[in-house]
Amino acid sequence: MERVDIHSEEDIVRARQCARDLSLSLGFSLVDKTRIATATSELARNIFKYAREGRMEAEEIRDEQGRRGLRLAFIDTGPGIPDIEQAMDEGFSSADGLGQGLPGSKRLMDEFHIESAVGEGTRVEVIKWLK
Amino acid sequence: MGEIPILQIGPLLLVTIQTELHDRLAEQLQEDILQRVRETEAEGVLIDITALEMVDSFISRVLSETAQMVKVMGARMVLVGLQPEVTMALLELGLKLTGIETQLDIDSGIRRLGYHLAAVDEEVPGLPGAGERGHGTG
Repeated sequence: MERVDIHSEEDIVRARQCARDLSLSLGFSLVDKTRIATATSELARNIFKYAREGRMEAEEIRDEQGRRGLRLAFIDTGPGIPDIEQAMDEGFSSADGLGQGLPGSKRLMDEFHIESAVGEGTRVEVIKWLK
Repeated sequence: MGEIPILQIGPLLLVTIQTELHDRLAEQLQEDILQRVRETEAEGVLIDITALEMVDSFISRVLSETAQMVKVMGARMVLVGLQPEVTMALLELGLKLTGIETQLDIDSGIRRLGYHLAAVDEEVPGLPGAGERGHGTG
Protein backbone atom coordinates (compact mmCIF):
# COMPACT_ATOMS: atom_id res chain seq x y z
CA MET A 1 0.00 0.00 0.00
CA GLU A 2 1.18 3.49 -0.87
CA ARG A 3 0.55 6.36 1.47
CA VAL A 4 0.74 10.10 0.81
CA ASP A 5 0.37 12.50 3.72
CA ILE A 6 -1.52 15.63 2.81
CA HIS A 7 -0.79 18.87 4.59
CA SER A 8 0.19 21.30 1.84
CA GLU A 9 -0.79 22.26 -1.70
CA GLU A 10 2.26 20.40 -3.02
CA ASP A 11 0.92 17.22 -1.41
CA ILE A 12 -2.13 17.43 -3.70
CA VAL A 13 0.29 17.15 -6.64
CA ARG A 14 2.10 14.31 -4.85
CA ALA A 15 -1.16 12.40 -4.32
CA ARG A 16 -1.99 12.87 -8.01
CA GLN A 17 1.44 11.58 -9.02
CA CYS A 18 1.10 8.55 -6.76
CA ALA A 19 -2.33 7.70 -8.21
CA ARG A 20 -0.99 8.23 -11.72
CA ASP A 21 2.02 5.95 -11.17
CA LEU A 22 -0.21 3.19 -9.79
CA SER A 23 -2.79 3.51 -12.56
CA LEU A 24 0.03 3.39 -15.09
CA SER A 25 1.50 0.19 -13.64
CA LEU A 26 -1.96 -1.38 -13.44
CA GLY A 27 -2.47 -0.70 -17.13
CA PHE A 28 -5.47 1.64 -17.10
CA SER A 29 -6.51 3.33 -20.35
CA LEU A 30 -5.54 6.95 -20.92
CA VAL A 31 -9.12 8.10 -20.21
CA ASP A 32 -9.35 6.11 -16.97
CA LYS A 33 -5.90 7.36 -15.85
CA THR A 34 -7.12 10.91 -16.41
CA ARG A 35 -10.37 10.21 -14.51
CA ILE A 36 -8.37 8.78 -11.59
CA ALA A 37 -5.93 11.74 -11.56
CA THR A 38 -8.83 14.24 -11.66
CA ALA A 39 -10.77 12.55 -8.84
CA THR A 40 -7.57 12.27 -6.76
CA SER A 41 -6.92 15.97 -7.18
CA GLU A 42 -10.45 16.86 -6.03
CA LEU A 43 -10.47 14.54 -3.02
CA ALA A 44 -6.94 15.43 -1.89
CA ARG A 45 -7.82 19.11 -2.16
CA ASN A 46 -10.94 18.56 -0.04
CA ILE A 47 -8.70 17.23 2.72
CA PHE A 48 -6.34 20.20 2.52
CA LYS A 49 -9.20 22.68 2.26
CA TYR A 50 -11.56 21.42 4.93
CA ALA A 51 -9.43 19.35 7.32
CA ARG A 52 -6.00 20.96 6.70
CA GLU A 53 -4.35 17.56 6.92
CA GLY A 54 -4.93 13.91 6.32
CA ARG A 55 -3.70 11.17 4.02
CA MET A 56 -4.34 9.20 0.90
CA GLU A 57 -3.89 5.43 0.91
CA ALA A 58 -3.65 3.74 -2.47
CA GLU A 59 -3.54 0.05 -3.29
CA GLU A 60 -4.18 -2.48 -5.97
CA ILE A 61 -7.11 -4.76 -5.17
CA ARG A 62 -8.89 -7.79 -6.65
CA ASP A 63 -12.55 -8.77 -6.42
CA GLU A 64 -13.89 -12.36 -6.12
CA GLN A 65 -13.74 -12.77 -9.89
CA GLY A 66 -10.06 -11.83 -9.89
CA ARG A 67 -10.72 -8.49 -11.52
CA ARG A 68 -8.03 -5.96 -10.66
CA GLY A 69 -8.66 -2.42 -9.58
CA LEU A 70 -7.21 0.60 -7.83
CA ARG A 71 -8.60 1.64 -4.46
CA LEU A 72 -7.91 5.11 -3.11
CA ALA A 73 -8.89 6.14 0.41
CA PHE A 74 -8.85 9.77 1.52
CA ILE A 75 -8.81 9.98 5.28
CA ASP A 76 -8.79 12.95 7.62
CA THR A 77 -9.57 13.74 11.22
CA GLY A 78 -10.99 17.15 10.38
CA PRO A 79 -14.37 18.71 11.23
CA GLY A 80 -16.40 16.06 9.37
CA ILE A 81 -19.40 16.64 7.13
CA PRO A 82 -22.64 17.42 9.01
CA ASP A 83 -24.91 16.64 6.04
CA ILE A 84 -23.47 14.11 3.58
CA GLU A 85 -26.61 14.15 1.45
CA GLN A 86 -26.21 17.89 0.96
CA ALA A 87 -22.48 17.55 0.28
CA MET A 88 -23.27 14.99 -2.45
CA ASP A 89 -25.91 17.24 -3.98
CA GLU A 90 -24.92 18.59 -7.37
CA GLY A 91 -26.58 21.94 -6.73
CA PHE A 92 -24.84 22.48 -3.42
CA SER A 93 -21.72 24.56 -3.62
CA SER A 94 -19.79 26.24 -0.84
CA ALA A 95 -19.13 29.98 -0.87
CA ASP A 96 -15.78 29.70 -2.66
CA GLY A 97 -17.28 27.79 -5.59
CA LEU A 98 -15.95 24.41 -4.54
CA GLY A 99 -18.34 21.58 -3.89
CA GLN A 100 -18.26 19.68 -7.15
CA GLY A 101 -15.51 17.48 -5.73
CA LEU A 102 -17.61 14.77 -4.08
CA PRO A 103 -20.41 14.20 -6.65
CA GLY A 104 -17.92 14.74 -9.48
CA SER A 105 -15.45 12.19 -8.12
CA LYS A 106 -18.30 9.71 -7.73
CA ARG A 107 -19.06 10.05 -11.44
CA LEU A 108 -15.40 9.72 -12.42
CA MET A 109 -14.86 6.48 -10.48
CA ASP A 110 -16.67 3.10 -10.46
CA GLU A 111 -17.33 2.92 -6.73
CA PHE A 112 -17.63 5.61 -4.11
CA HIS A 113 -18.11 5.26 -0.35
CA ILE A 114 -18.15 8.04 2.20
CA GLU A 115 -18.29 7.99 5.98
CA SER A 116 -18.11 11.08 8.11
CA ALA A 117 -18.68 12.03 11.72
CA VAL A 118 -18.78 15.61 12.93
CA GLY A 119 -15.73 16.34 15.07
CA GLU A 120 -14.07 13.05 14.13
CA GLY A 121 -13.29 13.18 10.45
CA THR A 122 -14.11 11.89 7.01
CA ARG A 123 -13.16 8.85 4.96
CA VAL A 124 -13.85 8.76 1.24
CA GLU A 125 -13.02 5.58 -0.62
CA VAL A 126 -13.11 5.29 -4.40
CA ILE A 127 -12.39 2.36 -6.70
CA LYS A 128 -11.70 2.11 -10.41
CA TRP A 129 -11.83 -1.37 -11.94
CA LEU A 130 -9.68 -2.41 -14.89
CA LYS A 131 -11.87 -3.03 -17.94
CA MET B 1 7.39 36.31 -11.89
CA GLY B 2 6.58 32.64 -11.60
CA GLU B 3 8.24 29.75 -13.39
CA ILE B 4 5.86 29.57 -16.35
CA PRO B 5 7.15 31.72 -19.22
CA ILE B 6 4.82 34.18 -20.96
CA LEU B 7 6.04 34.83 -24.51
CA GLN B 8 5.12 37.88 -26.52
CA ILE B 9 4.40 37.37 -30.23
CA GLY B 10 3.45 40.75 -31.66
CA PRO B 11 0.14 41.78 -30.06
CA LEU B 12 -0.39 38.35 -28.51
CA LEU B 13 0.90 36.58 -25.43
CA LEU B 14 1.56 32.85 -25.53
CA VAL B 15 1.59 30.78 -22.35
CA THR B 16 2.45 27.11 -22.69
CA ILE B 17 1.96 25.26 -19.44
CA GLN B 18 4.57 22.49 -19.39
CA THR B 19 4.78 21.86 -15.68
CA GLU B 20 2.54 20.25 -13.08
CA LEU B 21 0.25 23.03 -11.86
CA HIS B 22 -0.06 23.28 -8.13
CA ASP B 23 -2.46 25.82 -6.65
CA ARG B 24 0.00 28.59 -5.86
CA LEU B 25 1.64 28.29 -9.26
CA ALA B 26 -1.76 28.65 -10.95
CA GLU B 27 -2.52 31.78 -8.93
CA GLN B 28 0.94 33.21 -9.64
CA LEU B 29 0.42 32.59 -13.35
CA GLN B 30 -2.89 34.47 -13.24
CA GLU B 31 -1.16 37.47 -11.67
CA ASP B 32 1.75 37.31 -14.14
CA ILE B 33 -0.58 37.16 -17.15
CA LEU B 34 -2.49 40.27 -16.04
CA GLN B 35 0.78 42.10 -15.38
CA ARG B 36 2.13 41.18 -18.83
CA VAL B 37 -1.14 42.19 -20.55
CA ARG B 38 -0.73 45.59 -18.92
CA GLU B 39 2.99 45.94 -19.78
CA THR B 40 2.72 44.79 -23.39
CA GLU B 41 -0.78 46.14 -24.09
CA ALA B 42 -1.52 42.73 -25.55
CA GLU B 43 -4.74 42.19 -27.49
CA GLY B 44 -4.96 38.51 -26.84
CA VAL B 45 -3.67 35.76 -24.58
CA LEU B 46 -3.29 32.16 -25.74
CA ILE B 47 -3.01 29.54 -23.04
CA ASP B 48 -1.82 26.18 -24.29
CA ILE B 49 -2.62 23.28 -21.94
CA THR B 50 -1.66 20.43 -24.27
CA ALA B 51 0.76 19.10 -21.65
CA LEU B 52 -1.70 19.16 -18.72
CA GLU B 53 -2.68 15.63 -17.68
CA MET B 54 -5.91 16.83 -16.08
CA VAL B 55 -7.93 19.93 -15.29
CA ASP B 56 -9.61 19.87 -11.88
CA SER B 57 -12.10 22.31 -10.35
CA PHE B 58 -9.34 24.53 -9.00
CA ILE B 59 -7.46 24.94 -12.29
CA SER B 60 -10.77 25.38 -14.08
CA ARG B 61 -11.79 28.15 -11.69
CA VAL B 62 -8.43 29.94 -12.04
CA LEU B 63 -8.69 29.75 -15.85
CA SER B 64 -12.29 31.07 -15.84
CA GLU B 65 -11.31 33.93 -13.54
CA THR B 66 -8.24 34.75 -15.64
CA ALA B 67 -10.36 34.87 -18.82
CA GLN B 68 -12.77 37.22 -17.07
CA MET B 69 -9.97 39.47 -15.77
CA VAL B 70 -8.21 39.57 -19.15
CA LYS B 71 -11.55 40.61 -20.68
CA VAL B 72 -12.05 43.36 -18.12
CA MET B 73 -8.58 44.66 -19.05
CA GLY B 74 -9.71 44.90 -22.69
CA ALA B 75 -7.98 41.83 -24.12
CA ARG B 76 -9.16 38.32 -24.99
CA MET B 77 -8.07 34.94 -23.73
CA VAL B 78 -8.30 31.73 -25.71
CA LEU B 79 -7.57 28.33 -24.22
CA VAL B 80 -6.06 25.77 -26.58
CA GLY B 81 -4.79 22.19 -26.43
CA LEU B 82 -7.51 20.50 -24.34
CA GLN B 83 -6.87 16.79 -24.82
CA PRO B 84 -9.89 14.48 -25.44
CA GLU B 85 -9.39 12.53 -22.19
CA VAL B 86 -8.92 15.72 -20.18
CA THR B 87 -12.13 17.13 -21.70
CA MET B 88 -14.08 13.94 -20.87
CA ALA B 89 -12.94 13.90 -17.24
CA LEU B 90 -13.58 17.63 -16.91
CA LEU B 91 -17.19 17.34 -18.07
CA GLU B 92 -17.83 14.20 -16.00
CA LEU B 93 -16.58 16.11 -12.99
CA GLY B 94 -19.31 18.63 -13.76
CA LEU B 95 -17.19 21.56 -14.94
CA LYS B 96 -18.09 23.63 -17.97
CA LEU B 97 -15.20 26.12 -18.31
CA THR B 98 -17.74 28.93 -18.09
CA GLY B 99 -16.76 32.06 -19.98
CA ILE B 100 -13.66 30.54 -21.58
CA GLU B 101 -13.16 30.59 -25.34
CA THR B 102 -11.50 27.39 -26.53
CA GLN B 103 -9.84 26.31 -29.76
CA LEU B 104 -8.19 23.07 -30.82
CA ASP B 105 -4.60 24.28 -31.14
CA ILE B 106 -2.33 27.32 -31.14
CA ASP B 107 -2.83 27.93 -34.84
CA SER B 108 -6.64 28.08 -34.63
CA GLY B 109 -6.31 30.04 -31.38
CA ILE B 110 -4.25 32.71 -33.13
CA ARG B 111 -6.90 32.90 -35.88
CA ARG B 112 -9.66 33.17 -33.27
CA LEU B 113 -7.82 36.22 -31.94
CA GLY B 114 -7.88 37.73 -35.41
CA TYR B 115 -4.35 36.98 -36.61
CA HIS B 116 -2.60 34.42 -38.74
CA LEU B 117 0.95 33.46 -39.60
CA ALA B 118 2.10 34.79 -42.97
CA ALA B 119 5.35 34.97 -44.89
CA VAL B 120 7.08 38.33 -45.12
CA ASP B 121 7.62 39.67 -48.63
CA GLU B 122 10.73 41.73 -48.08
CA GLU B 123 14.21 40.27 -47.58
CA VAL B 124 15.16 39.88 -43.96
CA PRO B 125 18.92 40.22 -43.37
CA GLY B 126 20.45 36.89 -42.41
CA LEU B 127 17.36 34.87 -43.35
CA PRO B 128 16.45 33.16 -46.62
CA GLY B 129 13.75 34.87 -48.72
CA ALA B 130 10.06 34.20 -48.18
CA GLY B 131 9.87 31.89 -51.19
CA GLU B 132 12.60 29.58 -49.92
CA ARG B 133 11.43 29.65 -46.35
CA GLY B 134 7.75 29.02 -46.91
CA HIS B 135 6.48 30.57 -43.70
CA GLY B 136 7.22 33.27 -41.20
CA THR B 137 5.53 35.73 -38.94
CA GLY B 138 3.89 38.85 -40.20
